[in-house]
Amino acid sequence: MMSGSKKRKRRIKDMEVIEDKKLIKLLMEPTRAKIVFDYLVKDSMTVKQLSEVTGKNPGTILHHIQKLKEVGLVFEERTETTQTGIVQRYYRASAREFRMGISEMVQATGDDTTKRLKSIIRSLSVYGIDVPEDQVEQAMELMMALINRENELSSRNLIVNEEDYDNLSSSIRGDASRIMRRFALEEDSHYRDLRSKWHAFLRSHRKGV
Amino acid sequence: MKNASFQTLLDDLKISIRFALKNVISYVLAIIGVFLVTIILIAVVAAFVFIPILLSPESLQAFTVWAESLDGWFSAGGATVATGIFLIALPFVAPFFVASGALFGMAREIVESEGTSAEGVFTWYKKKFFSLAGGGIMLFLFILGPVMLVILGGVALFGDEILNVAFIGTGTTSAMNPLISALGVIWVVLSTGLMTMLFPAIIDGFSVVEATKKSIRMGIQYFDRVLGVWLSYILLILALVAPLFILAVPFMWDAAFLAMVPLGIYAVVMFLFLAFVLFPAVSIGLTRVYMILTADDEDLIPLEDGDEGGPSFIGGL
Repeated sequence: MMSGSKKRKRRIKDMEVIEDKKLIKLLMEPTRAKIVFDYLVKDSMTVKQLSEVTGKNPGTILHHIQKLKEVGLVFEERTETTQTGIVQRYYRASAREFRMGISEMVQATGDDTTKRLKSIIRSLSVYGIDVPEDQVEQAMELMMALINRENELSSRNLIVNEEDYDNLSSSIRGDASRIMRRFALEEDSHYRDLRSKWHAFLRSHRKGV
Repeated sequence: MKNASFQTLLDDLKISIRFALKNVISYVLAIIGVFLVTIILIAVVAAFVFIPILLSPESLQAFTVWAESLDGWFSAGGATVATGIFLIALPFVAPFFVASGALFGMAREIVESEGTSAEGVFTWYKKKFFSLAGGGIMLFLFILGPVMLVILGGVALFGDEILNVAFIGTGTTSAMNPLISALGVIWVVLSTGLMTMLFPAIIDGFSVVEATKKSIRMGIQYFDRVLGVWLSYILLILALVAPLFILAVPFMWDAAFLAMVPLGIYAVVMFLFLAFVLFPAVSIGLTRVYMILTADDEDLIPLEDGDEGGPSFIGGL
């Protein structure tokens, strides 16, 4: 038997693009990234539960949670008192999905992100798309522009009835969200233009074309 | 849950002592470690204060002048001496408060996740050093500041003679006026009680000023629970210390020192219990109360109970 007190329900954003360089750097720490992206975006969890799933001690988790709370990426959803007397706080990410602003990430991490983007371009060879070295930069620019536009559009709040939205089950909410975000992208002419350029680039480097 | 009843306070005490006992090894190691660091830090502060004075001849001369002026202070009256001690004490008490505050960090780990480790205390010590030192100074000022103001105000208005009212002669010595003593005890209990949520709030990530405001606000809003649990700990400590004074006095008069051996053993056991169990239990109990009281239960909206999960039909973008 637990006696609990529930916090005023805070609205969890559907998707958030992280553009603040400080936040990006904060999330570069692997344990913090794991806490947010693997666990707290999906459900609320206590320090003890996070400590068990990550294998880190509760003190370390608590310090990370405090940092994430300070910058608003995580919040306290509710508090429960167990029969043994423990006062458990349930933490939750402020959005159901996070994406890093690609330009900001390049600025925040410098070479690391650029290297990663280049690796992504080169890795397309396993799908039969060979991008010559002298065109990797161009590919990166096209991909970054597309991602930036996609982030910009996807982070817009498309929900018109937030109360009903909150009452949807998580799986239905997820599916509905994806349908509408895809629709929003298709509706945007700038996004369509960028996507056409990107696809044309990929097509031009496809083996046998 | 948030308000005090006899049962709630009893539970607060029982749970905190149980957790302190459960983590006693971590606490013993942490307290010893943090005590050593505090001693070193106080020595460093002392060195910063006194070595420059003693090293150069000019400073040594200035120190002599300063030491001689102490004589003047004492003849000038208690108010000046008290002010001097008050100001000099501040940098020396700060390391002690950082150490105590760091134990509240361990308490937070216990209250939130049932376990802690001895090395955890140093993480809190390092990460919250300036906040805890600031909190300690704030606590010191909050408790003793008004007392100093009253003394200084009284002296300014009525002269040093006003201090004679505070002390009454008992034979060859003088003792505190019982009324002043009673008022002093009430003020110390009340002011420390209002500041009990200071360290838990600092550990929770609040700044010193915000934590002070929060502690006082909580002390007023949940007066019964905050002061209740604080008084419970004070009474428990008094109950443990009282036998020493009650039993030691008659033995002293009879000079039956052999009979004092069991009392001595009790004193040692009691000291160990106070230092390694009750002191941690106080930090655990206060942190637990802080976490219960800061859980916002207004305007409840049911959360996603019974939300059925399942695979998504619509793929990613």
